[in-house]
Amino acid sequence: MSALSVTGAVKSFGRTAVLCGLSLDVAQGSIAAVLGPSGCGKTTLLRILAGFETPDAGEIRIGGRTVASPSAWVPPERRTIGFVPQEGALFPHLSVRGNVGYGLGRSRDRAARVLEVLDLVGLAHLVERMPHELSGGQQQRVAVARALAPRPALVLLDEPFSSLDAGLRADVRDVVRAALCADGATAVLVTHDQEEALSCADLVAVMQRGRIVQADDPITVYRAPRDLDVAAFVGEAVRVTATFSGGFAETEVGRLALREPRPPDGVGVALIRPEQFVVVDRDGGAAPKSDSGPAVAATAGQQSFLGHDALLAISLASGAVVTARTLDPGPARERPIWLSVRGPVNGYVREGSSQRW
Amino acid sequence: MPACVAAVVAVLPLGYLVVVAARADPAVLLAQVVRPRSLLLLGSSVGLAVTVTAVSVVLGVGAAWLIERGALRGRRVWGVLAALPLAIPSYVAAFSWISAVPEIAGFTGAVVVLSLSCFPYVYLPTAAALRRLDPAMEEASRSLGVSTLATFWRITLPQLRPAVAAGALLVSLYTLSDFGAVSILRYDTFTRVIFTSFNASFDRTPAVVLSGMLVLVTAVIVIAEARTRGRARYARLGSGAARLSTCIPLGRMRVPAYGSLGLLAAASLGLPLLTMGYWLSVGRSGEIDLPRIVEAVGGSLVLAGGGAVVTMLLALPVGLLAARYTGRIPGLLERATYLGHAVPAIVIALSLVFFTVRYAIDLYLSVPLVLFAYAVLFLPLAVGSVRASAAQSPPVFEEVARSLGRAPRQVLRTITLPLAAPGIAAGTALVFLAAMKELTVTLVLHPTGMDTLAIRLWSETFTRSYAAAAPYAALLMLVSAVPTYLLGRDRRRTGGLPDPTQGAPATSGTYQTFPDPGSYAYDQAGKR
Repeated sequence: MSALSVTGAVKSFGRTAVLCGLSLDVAQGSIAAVLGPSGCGKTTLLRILAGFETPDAGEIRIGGRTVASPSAWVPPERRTIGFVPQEGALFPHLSVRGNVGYGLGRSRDRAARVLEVLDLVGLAHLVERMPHELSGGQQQRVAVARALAPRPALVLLDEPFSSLDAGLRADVRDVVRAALCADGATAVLVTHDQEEALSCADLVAVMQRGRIVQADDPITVYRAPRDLDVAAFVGEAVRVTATFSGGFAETEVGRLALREPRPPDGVGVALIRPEQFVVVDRDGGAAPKSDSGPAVAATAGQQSFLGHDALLAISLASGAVVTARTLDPGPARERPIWLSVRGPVNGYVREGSSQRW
Repeated sequence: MPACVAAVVAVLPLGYLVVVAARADPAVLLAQVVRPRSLLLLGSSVGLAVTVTAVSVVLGVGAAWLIERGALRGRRVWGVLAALPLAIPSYVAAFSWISAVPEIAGFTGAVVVLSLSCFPYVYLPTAAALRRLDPAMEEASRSLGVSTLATFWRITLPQLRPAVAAGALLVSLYTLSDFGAVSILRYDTFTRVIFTSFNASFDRTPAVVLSGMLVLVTAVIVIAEARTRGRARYARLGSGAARLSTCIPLGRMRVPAYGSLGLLAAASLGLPLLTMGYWLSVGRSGEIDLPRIVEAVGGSLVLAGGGAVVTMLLALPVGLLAARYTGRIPGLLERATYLGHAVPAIVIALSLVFFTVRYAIDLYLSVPLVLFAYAVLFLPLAVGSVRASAAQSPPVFEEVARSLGRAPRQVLRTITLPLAAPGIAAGTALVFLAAMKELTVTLVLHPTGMDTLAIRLWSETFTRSYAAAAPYAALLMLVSAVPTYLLGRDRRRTGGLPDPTQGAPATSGTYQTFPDPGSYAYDQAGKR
């Protein structure tokens, strides 16, 4: 059963259309990441789910109950949702205990539940602190605990990690993900950071221009993006002109196997991820064999060192430039190299096409 | 709905004045307006307002630049000294000047006293704007080979314009509606003549006509102010600690700089304090009537305390509404409560007199009527502080609270009001102190036999028994010094806050209850 189901949601502010018939389904107990560039309407979507905004059209069901439709409207306090805003927004006049217990009312197990959810985020020892006595990461974790405390049907997180610095971000992300899983919560988080979406979520929904253009598991979204726009948004994408025939793409960098679903035979664009390129120093001798047939001769160009790996620009014989990911320090500038491609690639009929064949 | 009550309260006095004017014979009204005396008054009032505004701008901007940008010793002390004249009600300053230099009465005296009382309205927002200004812009200008002075003219001043304009318009508004100082200095403006003609005759037409003319003049100024505010864009720096701008060495100009600031402080603070001290020491020889002073303090406390509570109760719904909803109706309601800000106190007092005499004679010269008048006068002060403190806690708190299953009414009780509490308390205190100092409305409407500090000071000065007036002047100065002191303390505390970027900005950065000095000056205009 879907914990959340959005059908044809439409919302505009004045003359600006923000959501244009958006649909999304999230399964019970899973974490969905809505991934999109700034200004694509992610936050509006979240606010509509929470009930802070009303959709102009469409239907929203949370836990099987219709909370917004042309004929029904449930206010935020009766939607059984948990909301984690961008910077936590802990109530500054309440202690950690007061914050986390805020949504629990006067139930008997209140104190126990407060400690239970704080334990999930690893902060049970800070229960008497005031918000300003916590670090940014701790505040964020308390905010998640506060949202989880009343056992909501759905937890909504609005770019929850973007205000943290890079070192802290991964830690807090792991803690929050583990807490959500341990509590069996269904969660929707919106983010513009593809690494966050791919690493955190069970379902990545790519949002563009007010619609979800692809919603799949992270591996499928990265390996088999629906179109070239999605491909470029979820990671580095190299496009090369190709001629498709019989399940292969003939390109300047070799004869590449095509992943399903294959494009029809004809001219198009092949999508290669930079890590698929294999770069070998060329010291004379014959071209080494590879998945893509004999390696092609090329010239190393500018290298951008990124720490964990590096991106190397490579000039092909035709003058076209492609980008390869290299682990060790790559060949020096202007060095002749052999270039080949590992694994299957995706073929698209034409650049920018929204339809995949 | 409760917000509407406040709006009705605020609109009633002016509304009634319009009704009275509309019912009168237009020919009689017109005859009154074009009387040479009326036109002369228009000239003298506007002339005074323009002169005082110009002098205040020069004093305020000059002091702000010297204190914020000049390499002076004791900047903090100079900053406090430049704000302190706000702590002296203008009629107290007028008392001290005329008792020290009797020949100053008239236009000169009015200009001197009002300029020295009002220049902080320009100084405070200008200094605040200078502090907020990104020093990188001035540095960029200097690096392009432009001199200090030229940089000030071409880069700094244009950015200060909204702050200076807001301050200047406050000064002119204050000058036009001031009643105490011009009366004591015996310079005829609208307010003084309205009061005397109301006191002297049974025919209320001249008072109504002059009130109407005065309201029109202030309306022009308020509209002008609203326009400059609407166009002004306040660039906010990042949430991190603002970089302090470097000081400009004054070189040979150091002596004139210290000299002019010292002269300003001596004239605006030293002289009033000295004369007061003199009269107090003279008065020790028997003219001080202690039981009377105690009685006046009691009267002031009752009226100001009641006024503060009534005003805040009316202001709460309007302030909360205005902080949370932008729309035609909340905007209109808020505007309505600001009428008390724009309409001179003498006009409000007069129209309440007419209203009660005609419709509610039991309320005429009663305590409830004074409290009502205070509410009209000080609603802007209270609404402003409620609104500001509610607006400083971002709406996301309320959204989170609702997502956690609390209904709007509970959210108001558990989140919105506790977060706004410091601002509400500060607003109540501000209204209380402003009401303590209030002269005009209290003078016209107070129940017979009830005394307050301001009334005693006014009547003793009126009969030129300056020694007897001095204790009241001293007490009033003490009362007025409290908010100024609090303002200074708050600003020091803001400076000592930890770097807000260390915590989550939404909680430690945005949630502050410290008033902006600029808006404080704006609020203070409620005191008349």
